[in-house]
Amino acid sequence: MITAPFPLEDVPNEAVLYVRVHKDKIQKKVLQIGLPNPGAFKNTPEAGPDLSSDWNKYSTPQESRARIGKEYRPAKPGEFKNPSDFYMVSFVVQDIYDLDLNQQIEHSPMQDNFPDELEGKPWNQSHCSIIGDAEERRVRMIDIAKWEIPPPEYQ
Amino acid sequence: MVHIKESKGYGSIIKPPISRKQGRLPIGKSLSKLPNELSEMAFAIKDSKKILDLQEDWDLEGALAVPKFVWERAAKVLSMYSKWIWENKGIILIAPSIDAIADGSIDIMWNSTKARLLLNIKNNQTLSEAHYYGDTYGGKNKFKGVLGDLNEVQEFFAYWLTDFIK
Repeated sequence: MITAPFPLEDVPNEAVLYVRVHKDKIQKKVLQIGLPNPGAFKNTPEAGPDLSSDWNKYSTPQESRARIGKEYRPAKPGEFKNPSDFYMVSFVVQDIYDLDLNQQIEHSPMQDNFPDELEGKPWNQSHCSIIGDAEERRVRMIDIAKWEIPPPEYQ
Repeated sequence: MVHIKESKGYGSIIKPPISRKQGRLPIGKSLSKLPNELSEMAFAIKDSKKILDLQEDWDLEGALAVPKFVWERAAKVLSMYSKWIWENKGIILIAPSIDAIADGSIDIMWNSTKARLLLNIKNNQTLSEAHYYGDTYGGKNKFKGVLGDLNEVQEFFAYWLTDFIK
């Protein structure tokens, strides 16, 4: 039983962040086949220029993927997302900073409606935001991404 | 490999041996039938029209549907540049990946063994522009900026595209 809101913490450089990749955001062209496409690292329109991720201090790739299945689809409240439509990649925080793109990483735990968890909006202590959006980021994030749960056809 | 410089966009940063006048291509004409040599590009453009079938929330994360005007701009850019490069340089541009993006824009991505280039056609009805980023992998020899006019060929950009030929 959680009795207090999750505290905000500093995310160390050696931390690992897990990012979900939708099945339609995988490259199918020669040379890059099986890698996430740049669109995988573009955030959704509602959430602004941040890319959501989960910190390995509080989550595993498998747990992150399973949590997707507890979220409502933004456009269809009441309908849950299908976690099998997503795969997981990881990034080391230091690797993101080493891209030298002025990106920030902030711990941003999700705990809507505390102390009562709402259906479709699961709490997530591991949630972090990767802040900063540009075409360069989307391309270069591919270089440092590592599959944790890859599409089965590209394993 | 062409000489590459980082750019803030808009301006021609590389002067290829072709005139600005030759680079102009009237609006609308670029969507005309491509020559047979560019059949792979024509197929890729035609195939990409399926992007318009994607409904809102296609990625389960609230993605916007891609408006028709965005796809038409992407199709026009690809037709225009591939045709111009063929007619002026005699070389065939490889067909890129053409993908819907969550904000309703379209990504056009070329990869070769030595370089890559992303061109994002913005979802903005009133402002016809695209942002680009290219490098020779690993952030080396960056080339980035804004194509502020999608209705005519920008020579410096066409010159960069000659890294992505058959």
